[in-house]
Amino acid sequence: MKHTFNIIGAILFSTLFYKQDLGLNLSLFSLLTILILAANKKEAFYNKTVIVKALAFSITGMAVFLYKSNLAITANVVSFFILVGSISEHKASLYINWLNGCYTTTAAFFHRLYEQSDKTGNPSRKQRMDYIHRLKVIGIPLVVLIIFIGLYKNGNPMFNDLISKIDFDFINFQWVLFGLLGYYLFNNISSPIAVNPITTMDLSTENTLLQAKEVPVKKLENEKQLGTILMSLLNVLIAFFLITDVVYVLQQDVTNANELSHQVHSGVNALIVSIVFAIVIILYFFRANLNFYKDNATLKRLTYLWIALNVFLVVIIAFKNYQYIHSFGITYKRIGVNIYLLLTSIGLFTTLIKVYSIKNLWYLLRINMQTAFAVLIVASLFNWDRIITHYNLNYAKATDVEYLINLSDNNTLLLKSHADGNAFNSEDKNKVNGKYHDYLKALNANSWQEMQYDNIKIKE
Amino acid sequence: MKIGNTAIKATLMATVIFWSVLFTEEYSSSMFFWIIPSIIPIFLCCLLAIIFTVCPFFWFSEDSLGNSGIFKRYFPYYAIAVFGVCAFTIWKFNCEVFAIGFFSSAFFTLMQTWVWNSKNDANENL
Repeated sequence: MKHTFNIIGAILFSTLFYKQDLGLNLSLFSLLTILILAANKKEAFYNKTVIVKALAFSITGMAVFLYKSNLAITANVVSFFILVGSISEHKASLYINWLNGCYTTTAAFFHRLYEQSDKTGNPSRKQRMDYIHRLKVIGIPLVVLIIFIGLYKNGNPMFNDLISKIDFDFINFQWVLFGLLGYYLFNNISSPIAVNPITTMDLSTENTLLQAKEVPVKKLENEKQLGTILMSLLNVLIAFFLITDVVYVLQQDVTNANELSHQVHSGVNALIVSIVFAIVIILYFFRANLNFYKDNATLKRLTYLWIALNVFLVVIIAFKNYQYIHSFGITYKRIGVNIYLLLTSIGLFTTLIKVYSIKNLWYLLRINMQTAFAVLIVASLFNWDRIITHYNLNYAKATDVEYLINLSDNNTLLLKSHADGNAFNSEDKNKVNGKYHDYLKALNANSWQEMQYDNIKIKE
Repeated sequence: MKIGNTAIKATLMATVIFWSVLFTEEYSSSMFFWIIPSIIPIFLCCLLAIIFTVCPFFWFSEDSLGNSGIFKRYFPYYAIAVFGVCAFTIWKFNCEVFAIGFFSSAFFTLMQTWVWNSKNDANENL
């Protein structure tokens, strides 16, 4: 039964992807993969986390059909590996799922091949005989037949003509080879494999920090003193920086693009260094027994304060970025800044939980990876080119039309509607019309496998 | 470890995969004449790849691990890395048939070489 599924999957794989660009085929492949995984590992789909990952995979597949953005394709590939990996071991961390998924997809066949021989020590004599017999039955007659055809061809011109007329052009061997690749892929993922010992180690590692063996109180006291002084000074420093920054923000000229750009970028750079240092210092002091030391309350409060002040720094940068966007429109870099700020805020919040609930480094890694994955999936569901174009043409005080024209084809239909409404000068209008016609041509040339949502839209 | 033996088996496998891919693009009976001479460079590629990328895992690992331990510990990362390198290079060569043939044969042959190497030594220990 498993082989039947894999063969059907391989035929569909070749039909969907052979000499095709991405589009509807990736959405259908996502559904096909889920069906084959569910058919082979039904019990894995009783688990909620596996269902969530399967949903994420199918949603990103749908996003490729809707927008065909690089982000959606990346999210789809990442979620594919994570889904396959979570079927091999659903309790493992997300990064271990990803590793297991990569391994299963690329080399599970060879792993199973080795394991079979490792278990039996040596392939049985009967098994060997079976392979040799099959090889003989197919190989020897084939070779003898080819030799005799070659001989008879020279002996009889009529036979030679008939043989020459045999045309195998109706068989596309590349298509068949592509199907074999599909079979290899589905064969690999049909029984997902866990990479060991890393998966076992991950499963046995808890999120909570355990108290290590007795450490001299004097040593803990010294460490606490150092931490308290350092945190106090850092708090004073960041507070001073924030006061001057707030005053500066209130006084600055929001019409100067260069000034705003410099402010946002230097602010983000400061933030990156500050957050990295903040997390490293916090992890250093709260790495072991200082978490359990009874006189650590002041150090903990100072740490919470520092995290809060860093969050305030995030808010100020977000405000500067908002001013920048409001005046000069959205760009990918400005969206990137917002996503970075979101991830930073979550990172700071999880660090706070780590200190408050006495969690270990693995907790931080696990929770932050989950957050990053969720952000990737959610971000892939939006047509960013269209959002950027819509905002910049309707709400931004100044618009860089050239930037909008150079975005992907996802904003073409919207740009065309604005161009028809005489929103652009004649030069920009010509460029938009050129982009529109090129896009229509590309859409009309799409096969059913490459179809996008815009194919349906233009038909309407 | 029987490097020569493994290299010969790997050469046969790589030759079959490489020429199968090439034949699917364009079939011509004159191509058959190139198969025999191509075995020499393929053998050299296989030998070098086995000596420099597969054997060190078996030579420099702790003896206590055994072949099964070496395979389970290192093969997954090796497979992922080799797949990444081969896929990236095929993409860099704009999916040209020669590149597909060369790197897909390299990938599958190296994977099988691990199985042969681990199995061979396991059988020797029996």
